[in-house]
Amino acid sequence: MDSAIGQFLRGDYMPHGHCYMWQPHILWTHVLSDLLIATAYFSIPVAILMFMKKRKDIGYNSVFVLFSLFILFCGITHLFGIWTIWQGVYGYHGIAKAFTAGISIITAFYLYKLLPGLLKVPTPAEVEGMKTEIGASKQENLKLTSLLEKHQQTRWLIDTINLSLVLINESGQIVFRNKKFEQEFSTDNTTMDELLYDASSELQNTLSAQVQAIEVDVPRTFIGKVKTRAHISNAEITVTKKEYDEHFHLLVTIKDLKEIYALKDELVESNARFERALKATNDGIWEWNIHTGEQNWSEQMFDLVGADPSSTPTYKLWFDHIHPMFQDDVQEAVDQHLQQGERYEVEYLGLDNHGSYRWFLARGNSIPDEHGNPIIMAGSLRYIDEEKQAKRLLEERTEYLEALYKGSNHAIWVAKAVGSDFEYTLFNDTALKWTNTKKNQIISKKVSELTQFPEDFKQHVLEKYSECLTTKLPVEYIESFPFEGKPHWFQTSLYPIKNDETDFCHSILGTAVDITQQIEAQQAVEDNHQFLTNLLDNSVCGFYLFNYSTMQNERINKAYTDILGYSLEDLQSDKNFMAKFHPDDIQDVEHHIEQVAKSNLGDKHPLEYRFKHKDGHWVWCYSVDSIIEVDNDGKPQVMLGTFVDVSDKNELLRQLQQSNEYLEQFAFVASHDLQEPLRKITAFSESLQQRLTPLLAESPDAKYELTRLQQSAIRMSMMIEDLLKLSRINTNNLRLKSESLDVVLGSVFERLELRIQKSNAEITTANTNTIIYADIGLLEQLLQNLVGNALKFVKAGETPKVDITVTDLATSVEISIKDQGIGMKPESIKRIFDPFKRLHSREEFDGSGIGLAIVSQIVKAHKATIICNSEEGKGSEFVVSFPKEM
Amino acid sequence: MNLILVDDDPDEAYILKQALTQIDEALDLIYFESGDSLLPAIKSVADKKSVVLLDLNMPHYSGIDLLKNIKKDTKLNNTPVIMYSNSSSPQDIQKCYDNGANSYVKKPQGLGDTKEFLSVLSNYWQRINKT
Repeated sequence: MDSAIGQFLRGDYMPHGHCYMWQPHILWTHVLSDLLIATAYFSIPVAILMFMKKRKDIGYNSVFVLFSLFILFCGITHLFGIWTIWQGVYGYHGIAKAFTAGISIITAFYLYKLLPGLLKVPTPAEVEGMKTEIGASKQENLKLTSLLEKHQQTRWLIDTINLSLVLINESGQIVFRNKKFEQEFSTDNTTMDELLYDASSELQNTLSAQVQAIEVDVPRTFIGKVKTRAHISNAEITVTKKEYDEHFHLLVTIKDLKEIYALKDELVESNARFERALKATNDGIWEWNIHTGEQNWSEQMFDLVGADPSSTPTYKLWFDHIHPMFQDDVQEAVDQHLQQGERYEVEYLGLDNHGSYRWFLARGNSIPDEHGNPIIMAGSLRYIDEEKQAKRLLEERTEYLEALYKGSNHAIWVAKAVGSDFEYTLFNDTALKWTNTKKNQIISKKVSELTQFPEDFKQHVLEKYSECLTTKLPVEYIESFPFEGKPHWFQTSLYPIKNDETDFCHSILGTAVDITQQIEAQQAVEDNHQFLTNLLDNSVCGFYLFNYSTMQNERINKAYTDILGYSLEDLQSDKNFMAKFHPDDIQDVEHHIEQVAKSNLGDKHPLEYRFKHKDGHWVWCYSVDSIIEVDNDGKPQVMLGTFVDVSDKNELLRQLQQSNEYLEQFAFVASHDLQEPLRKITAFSESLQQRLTPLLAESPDAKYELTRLQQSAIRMSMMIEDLLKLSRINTNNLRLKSESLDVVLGSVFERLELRIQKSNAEITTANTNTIIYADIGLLEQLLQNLVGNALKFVKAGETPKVDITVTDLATSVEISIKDQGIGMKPESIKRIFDPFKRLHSREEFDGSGIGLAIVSQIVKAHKATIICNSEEGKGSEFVVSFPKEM
Repeated sequence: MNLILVDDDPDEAYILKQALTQIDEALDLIYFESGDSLLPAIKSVADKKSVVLLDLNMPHYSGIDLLKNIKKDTKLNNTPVIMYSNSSSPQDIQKCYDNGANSYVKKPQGLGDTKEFLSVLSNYWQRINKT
């Protein structure tokens, strides 16, 4: 085998390239051509097989397969041809050719076998003819189908349409009717007569009258009543005359106008409603065609603007009613709406139909065209003055309440009842401050939850709140709460907050005001009152408040009771209070009470009177009364009196007066009676001297003794006279009057004339024209004594010099009498005014020794003063100062 | 002219009598020690021109009482009454004048003064004064 097959399959035969002599151009021409042929031969079978698969209808599959294989092997043979150029594998090349040959033979055989069948396949022209024929038949078929569909659509359309539709031929028979007609009228009618019979007479008449007159193809429409199965209703009937195959047909459509009529009714009703609404509303309604400027106003609109209803409504007519101050704002609102589509709503002041400015609210909206430009604007005008005022009132009230709540120096709070507890819902700043609490510590907190209040205080608060809540009445009380470590007093008021309708009380409103100061002041007043009461009761003075309207004492102190024995009850229960005054004093007392009543507030009026002690004895009272309270008319209401018991003083005074009276009487009687014997001594000694003249001449001693006797009697008489004068000087007996000192001194000098002449005295006066107010007789006596002394006490051998100087001072008149006589030692000065005090012997200076005592007494009686300045050997000066008023 | 003296002290009458003896005046002194019987007595002598000297201070009838009675009497009320007293009290003097005294004289001190008083009195009431 090796030898034969091996030989055949040997690869070392001469490569075919040698045949080409390895000429590259021949060689590569072959190689490339074979490659391209092989590529084509490999692709052809693929295309044949694809065709075979797609066109199964052709059949002859084996022929296609055989052709494919045959071409494939042709390609392989060409590839072996390329291989053999470089390798001499001609054995394999031959095998490949052999396979190709085999397949080729089979394919040829097969082809011949099938040839008669293949020849029967029509020619392309034959196929084209057949194709045209089939296309025409198909189109005919489609046309018919389409017509049928159209017909069905039309039928469906006619049935579905909401119109009763019927076709009537010339003889009046119905040839066609739609479903709607069947539903509405009848299914049985076959002739027009029958239809007409069943239809309303109106339709019948119309049809029969018009049918001849109807023009072909021109639909005639009229409204009439038809009788359907259900009811008679309005319908729109259209009759169209049509000619078909030289015959007339009538197409009648009946459109039920029931809904339209219903719609119309509804529209009419709606319009009426709108009209009613327009009339009912107080708002003015307007419509404005922006392009034409035309406006429509409701009646109310005219009224609101205050325009004549017959006038033509215009933008200006409305705009003119707006207050000038608001016109710009309103115009801007209109512009903004029209240009930017902003909401048109503006409040303004405008003239109302009474010509006064009121608040109005204008509102409106507009309808834009497709570009968004407004074409119609409509809206309303409302009179809102009352609302505005109500709103303003409400705002004001709210503001006030807010200010009250926040700014008040009252604590204000609201507590809501929660079961038996209360929860704080409001607590103002003042309340927070006083309770030293922060808002979050109290708001929405229950009383029982609060830790900042003492337990007992919380208990007290709950009790009060509950009381207010259950009684539904205001509760007022005073409570104490510590604030800043010090107890503070509050006047607290609670008010129930009720629901107006149900009268159910759900919360309480509390207010509190700090009255610590009042309480303290009250306490102070009470303390003070107690202090004053103590003071009054412990006073030694009796005290009473006498009420003029009750003519009774309304208050007395303890001293009153101590002095007079009566308690206030005793006095008030006594009907005849005045009877307690001594009968001798009652007139004075009544007069006094009248005088006090007439006097000014606070004027003091003293009075002494006797008042009957409870025990029955009389008590001398020295009382000072004054009015301390008057009513609105100035009439006295309350007299305040204080008094002391002056019974002891008065008794003493009485005794003193009595003693003084005795003394005066004694002085008078004594001096009077003493004068008697003295006169006799004088008279009889003189008589004796006359009778004994011759004897006396013989005895000088006797004469001397008789003379001394006479002189003593005269001096005693002088002393008695002076004593009398002294006793008579008394304040109560003064006869005061004003007189010029010139007059007074003139009288004094007259009395002293003899002595002045005898002593040759030099007297100077200055300013003596001054007026003095005094008892002139006593003043003369005083001056006479002083001037007399100045004349008397002169140094031996000198003539007296006296200077009298008067000085008119603001409140007094001063008279100075100055001499240049013997003067006095300073220690003597204070004694000179005592009676019977003599500084000198009688032999030196004559006198009673009472002169200066009289001077002193006169000075005292006048409440004047006297000063003596004196120096021994130089002279004395007496200065008397008389007050201008006494 | 009658000089009627009413004084409880008879010495006064004696002194006046002494003084009258030493002056040359036509005065007849009629003396009453009290006023009890004065009015009828005065009436008895009243046909002659008289002047009454009335002491102020007397028991029973005081000088003022007598003065009042004299001045009340329609027959006597024209007779001048000179009050004659030791008192120089202004109150006394005023009181006398208030009750109708025609004059008030303080009793003179000593005989000389008394004589002078009587001379003046006589001179005035007998020569100067017109009735």
